[in-house]
Amino acid sequence: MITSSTQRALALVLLASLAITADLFGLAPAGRIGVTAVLVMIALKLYATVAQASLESLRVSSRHEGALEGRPLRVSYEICNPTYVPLAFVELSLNYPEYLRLSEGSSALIAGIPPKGCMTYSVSFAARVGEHEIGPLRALFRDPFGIFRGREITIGEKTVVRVKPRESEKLRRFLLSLSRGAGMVRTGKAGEGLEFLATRDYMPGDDLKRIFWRALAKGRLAVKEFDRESTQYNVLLLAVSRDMLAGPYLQTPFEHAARIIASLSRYFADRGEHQSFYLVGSRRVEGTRMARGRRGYEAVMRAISRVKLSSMLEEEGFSADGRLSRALLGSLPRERVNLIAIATANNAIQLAEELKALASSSRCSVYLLLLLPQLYGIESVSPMERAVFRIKSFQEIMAVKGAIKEIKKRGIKAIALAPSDMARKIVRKLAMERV
Amino acid sequence: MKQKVSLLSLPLLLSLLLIGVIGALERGPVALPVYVGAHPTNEGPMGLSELYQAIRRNYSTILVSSWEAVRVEGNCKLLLLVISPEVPYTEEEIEKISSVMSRCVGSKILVADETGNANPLLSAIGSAARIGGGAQRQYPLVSFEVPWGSYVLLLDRPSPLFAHGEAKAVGVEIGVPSPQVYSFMDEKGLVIGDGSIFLNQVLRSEAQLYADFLFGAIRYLCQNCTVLLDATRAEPFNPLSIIHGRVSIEVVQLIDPVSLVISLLSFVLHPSAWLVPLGAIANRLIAEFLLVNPIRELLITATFVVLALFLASREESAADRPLREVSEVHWYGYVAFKKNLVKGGGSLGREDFISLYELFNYLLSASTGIALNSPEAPLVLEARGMDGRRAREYVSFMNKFYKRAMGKSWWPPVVFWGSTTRKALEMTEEALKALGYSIMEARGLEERVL
Repeated sequence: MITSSTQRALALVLLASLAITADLFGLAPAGRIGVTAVLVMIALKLYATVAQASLESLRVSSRHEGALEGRPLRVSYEICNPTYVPLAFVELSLNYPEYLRLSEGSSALIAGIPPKGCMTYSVSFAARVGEHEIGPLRALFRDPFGIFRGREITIGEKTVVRVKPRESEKLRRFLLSLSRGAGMVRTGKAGEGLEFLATRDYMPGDDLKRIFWRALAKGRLAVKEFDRESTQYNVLLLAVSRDMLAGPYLQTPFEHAARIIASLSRYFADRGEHQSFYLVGSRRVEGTRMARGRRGYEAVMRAISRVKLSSMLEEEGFSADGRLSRALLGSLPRERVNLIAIATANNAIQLAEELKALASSSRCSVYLLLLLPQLYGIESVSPMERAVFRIKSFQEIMAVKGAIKEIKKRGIKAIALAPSDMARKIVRKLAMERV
Repeated sequence: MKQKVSLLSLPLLLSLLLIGVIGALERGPVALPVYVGAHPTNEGPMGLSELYQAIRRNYSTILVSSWEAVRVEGNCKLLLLVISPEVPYTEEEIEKISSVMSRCVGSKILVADETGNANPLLSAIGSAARIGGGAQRQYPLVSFEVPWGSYVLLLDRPSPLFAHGEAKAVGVEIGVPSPQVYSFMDEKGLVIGDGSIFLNQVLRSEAQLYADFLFGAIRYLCQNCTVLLDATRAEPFNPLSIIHGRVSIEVVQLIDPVSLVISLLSFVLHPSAWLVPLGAIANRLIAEFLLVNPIRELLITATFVVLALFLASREESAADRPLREVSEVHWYGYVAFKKNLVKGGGSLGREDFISLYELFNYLLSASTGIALNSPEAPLVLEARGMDGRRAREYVSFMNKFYKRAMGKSWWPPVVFWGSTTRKALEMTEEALKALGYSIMEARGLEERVL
């Protein structure tokens, strides 16, 4: 059966039977009404059967525009009816992930598709970072009176949309203002270089040329240290977990982290530095190859736009099982590397445990940016609610501060970020940590 | 390739046309009258279309299909043409015609009638001539002595005329011992006892004499006037009578075929022409089918029930529900967020006061190195811009209630910690702002604490 009757059909059959029976026994002259109802039902059944066959031969093509976070992501379907049967009442419903929000259009509609004609169905989403599967469409045909309905079918194919994060222009500009020249980077570490970094007490073996004579005049034997300059290697690491998606639409820790990564990646690319990106979760470690300049940036953006939010919802949390450190140690270059990891506070200790080995090695500086999921959304409540929320979550904030201390004990430079922290705060704190 | 865009496609045009036709028909049965006799729209031999077209070419002409619709302006001059009226005038119509004619000075009439139906009109207008209303002779030869010339015309089956007053006999039969008068003329106009001489069949013939006489009469009677051609006196012909075979072939031959076809089509296309008979036929068939003896009734019922059950058993039934729609999640963790917000049942309590105290104490210590319970705390707050009195009140309030909350003191008594904490919140916000923080603004705390 490609069509089935609805509850209305049963009611109509009963009415028709009643009418005919009443007429037969001379109770009411309603025979014609009953016969007409039966004839109408037969006609509708025929139409529904033919139309359902026509529905299953619909040709659907899709396309999408816009793949940058925050911009409208427009998905259009052109549905063509190649048959001569008009499809008067087709219910269409679009499949899309629950974590996407429609900004324009409706996810369901009743459509009429003319014979040998086409219709276009378009919707827009407020694009959010990651890979999303939109479609296919589900379709259901009913006759004009809803007496018969076809079976629910899917039409068209899934459209895979990858949305890249929006860069923080402020952060990028600020970072660039710190830049000193293409390819040459202040490491914040003592070593061979031209820029004065600091003074320290003389240690046996120090080059006498470095003795800081002015300090010696004051009775202290000290040497000058210079900022070591080098071409930098950077690893951006994002630890995903379910709580990364906590918060209002487009204001979640994941989106916050994605914007930070996009801005840092662009900055590294502008400076011609090497970079790679790692995505880690409870069961996965995925990384890109170290690449320089624009290629590195493109690779990072591509990787972050492939993050599936649906799988992120299944991530329980990061567990330190050694896979990440093995993967990193196996792929990092011999040169010094800056590793900037972003994770929620809930996963921070576990991640720090995993990165401890790297942090203890002399060739790797590890920075851990902590996001606090419980604070995302605080901007959307009233001032008094906000105040109450802060009082009640104050202890949690203080606990994060405690966690940061714990992480620092592992040789990792950790800072916690508030939802509004983007540009200067991060750079300032990173710079402070470097010195 | 540039695509040709057509806003009005052929299917759309045809659809609109069809809708228009159906709409027009749905307004009700279309009556396109067909006339057999002397009517200006009848193109047949007995019609007046030739006369009408000829007058239209030379005069301002009003074809009167309803006397109620006739509008004439003042200072007018009219010539009323009445040719072979098939229906007598009613009193109301006479009043209306008189009213129209009386509005214009010097209006004239030209009546050609063999039936006598025009007599009431002649009487009302004040003409002396009257029509006998019955042909006594066929094809009499009549001599017309009229101001526009002398004519000898052969009439068809004219009616003799009589004068009820002063009227000049201008058309007298010749060649017979007792001649009849067939035309009078007076100040009101010309009356002729035969309308057939103005019909299409005469005007289309080669006998130009009739046309000369007619148009001479109009020229004489109507100088710079408006001609009213009365088209209300002809009876329409029902085209269905042809279908029903109630009309002889001779009559059919007199009808203009184009008008007849259009009239028939407009009738047949309308649902009232076929739907009602169709319904009647269906009704009769069903009645014949059903109104049988009780055993057959039961048999039919049983058959129907079995058939219905058979069809119903083959039919798959399903509840008709709309397709499931995606339920969007706009805020993951919202429940946890709100739970955190309203932790403790949504009310503020003693613990919250302690948290608030510790929060402020932490920020004050971090910013100034002075604790809230320090005697210097009010001074520091004042130095940071807070009003001195308010600063002292705030510090005293917080320390006093902190001791109470920690159980170190029984004074001051607290009934509801909620109102106390709320008051403390508002005061703390003021103090925090002096330090550059805010507990109520979106950005004012975490960025600096962390």
